[in-house]
Amino acid sequence: MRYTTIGSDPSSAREVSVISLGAMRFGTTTDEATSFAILDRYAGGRVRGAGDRRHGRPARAE
Amino acid sequence: VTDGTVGLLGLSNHWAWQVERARNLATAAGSARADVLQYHHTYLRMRTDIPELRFSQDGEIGAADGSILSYLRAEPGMTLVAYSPLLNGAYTRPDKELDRAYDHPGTQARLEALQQVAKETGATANQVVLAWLIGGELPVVPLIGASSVAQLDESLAALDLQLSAEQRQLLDEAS
Repeated sequence: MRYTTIGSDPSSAREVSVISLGAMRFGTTTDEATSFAILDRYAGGRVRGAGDRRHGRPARAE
Repeated sequence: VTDGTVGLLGLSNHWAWQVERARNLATAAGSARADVLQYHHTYLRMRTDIPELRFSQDGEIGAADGSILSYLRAEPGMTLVAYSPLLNGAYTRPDKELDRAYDHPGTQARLEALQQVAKETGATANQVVLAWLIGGELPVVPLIGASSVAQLDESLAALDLQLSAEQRQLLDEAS
């Protein structure tokens, strides 16, 4: 994994992976075992999106 | 942010003027500004004139359009988290249809450029899209979804894909 810095204020800036993993469907359309397998594989990453279903627009789901 | 409850602020799916207003208000109040924006962004360009009745009757509020991209360019230190960068699988899966917002003449040219670079590099179209997003001039972090480990592996392998200057130019200029 590669990392980048987000945030302009040095006191709050942080390093995150350059690819972020969306977890919005974990536990719903993606079952628990698959979700864990994906998370395990991704474990090097540092940012995950919890998601909010993007206003319920299915075309936008990750 | 000051209390440490939140590390860093981000805003998602707002008009650029709302983001600017919020950041100005925060600055005036001496509090932290949102430095991260989260919008839909991908290689294909989306029509942004189609209203969405519940949330944005004046057009598409959730796309990183010119107002958002130019905002990022003008404000160093801001980052765009690009959601749905792979269009729910539509770049590579014939069973997934493109949203009607991509039904315009520019799409075919972009898809052809994408296929050409995919062929040249031996990567999948999805990987080319991610490499294009990650390696561009603006700070963009793709927010990918995966419903299997194989899909995640495909996306993570995009980290190893380095587009040449010519390939990037071809992709950039297709429209």
